[in-house]
Amino acid sequence: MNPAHDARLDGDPRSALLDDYLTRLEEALELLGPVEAAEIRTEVASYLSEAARDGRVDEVLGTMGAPESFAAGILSERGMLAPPSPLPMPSNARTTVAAVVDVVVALAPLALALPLTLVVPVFSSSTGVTTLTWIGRFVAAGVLLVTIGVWPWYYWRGRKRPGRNQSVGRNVAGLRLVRAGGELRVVRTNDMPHGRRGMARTGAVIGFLVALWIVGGMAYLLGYAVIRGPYTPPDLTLSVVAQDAGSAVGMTTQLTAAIVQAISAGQATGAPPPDLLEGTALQEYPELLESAKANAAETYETQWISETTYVDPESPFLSDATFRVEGVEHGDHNRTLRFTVRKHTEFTDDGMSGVTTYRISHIEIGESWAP
Amino acid sequence: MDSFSSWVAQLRKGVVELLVLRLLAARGPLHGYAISRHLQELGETVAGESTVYPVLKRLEAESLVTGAWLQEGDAPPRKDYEVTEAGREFLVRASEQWQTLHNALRLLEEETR
Repeated sequence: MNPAHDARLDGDPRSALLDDYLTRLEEALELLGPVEAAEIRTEVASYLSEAARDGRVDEVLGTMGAPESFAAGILSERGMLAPPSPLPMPSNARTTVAAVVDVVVALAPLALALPLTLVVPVFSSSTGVTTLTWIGRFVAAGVLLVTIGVWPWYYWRGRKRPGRNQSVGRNVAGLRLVRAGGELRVVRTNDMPHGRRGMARTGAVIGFLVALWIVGGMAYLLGYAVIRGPYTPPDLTLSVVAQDAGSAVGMTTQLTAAIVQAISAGQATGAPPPDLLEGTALQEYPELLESAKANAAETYETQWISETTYVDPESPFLSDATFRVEGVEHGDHNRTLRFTVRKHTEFTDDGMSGVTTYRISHIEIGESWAP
Repeated sequence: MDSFSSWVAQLRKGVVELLVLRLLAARGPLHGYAISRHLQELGETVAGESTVYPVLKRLEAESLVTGAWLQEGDAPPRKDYEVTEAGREFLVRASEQWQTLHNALRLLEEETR
């Protein structure tokens, strides 16, 4: 027999009323645990069914009294309600632990305050965050504000209600808020007959830690993503200024500036620089070839970029880049040029666009005659 | 509740379990409603549902009675109770105590006549 079998008082016009009585009775017996409370509900339903057959339902209900007082009588007989209660009151340490955990759970979304400050425009402009659209920022800020503002209220309010959704703090501390007769009491789960005991507590502890891990992880990832930004480059205007070239470089300076400009353009469109590392031929860059023709005339045969090094190739902020350009100028004269290029991006006030300038800050020239 | 009513409630509370055990020992197994009806037939104020049922549940919790669920037809399942061996031993000792008190009361009543 399933002790949780719900009672049916078929044919009785007051069926809904009686069902309500049984439901209130079961709730008021929560201190006994769900199994025994459901069993008593079924038994009293049977009791009332027998009384209905004798036409004595009103009389029996009158004798039983309100479901809460009837439940109180049962709990009192079982020694669970009579003063002094044999059910020990939870210690202050337990209730304190429960309260602290509940405060942590209620305020956990505040961990999202960090990413919130980064997506709200007034903060993001000062931090140089440029990767979220205005709509994205608005939505993200709204979601975070609702999460931060509503969750503590919802959780703390629900904490004061008995029922299946107990507070995390009480579960962690092995406590339970139950309805005993007509009153609400906080008791130790282990003191309840048929209480869920250790499993519920272990589950609550694990759940609490997992929830903290998830919230913390989300806060970290969101904050990191906002700070770092996605890989989409900002809308930048590029210009190249060659300086300090010196006479030693001669006409090659302008050509190298064009190479740097091509690399910058590749960066701006998301083209990865590794192909340049492979020693790509100059002819693959029409603008460079044109520049080469215009500037080098007959002074060199070929020229290519053999090595590119970035301090932080993914950073949208200041970075240094070093380009090694190798060329053969006279067919019998190898020249190796190493350029140190400083990239600087000047953002506009809204942080959504900017101008990037590449300055050749240093040039090393290595010469060697072909054998 | 006045003093007399309070005294009656306390007396009834102490005696009902003896009545329930004796009834079940004599006529069990019986379900809760039948137990209440039998006791009410003994006297109007002997015990009502609000007294009998809680006592019955305590006796069960203390393993002095045991219940078994029965399902008959479409009727809601009911629980029939009977006295356990421990309940019978308890009944013997409780009856002895009751008899002692009853005798003492009777002797005092005879002296006051």
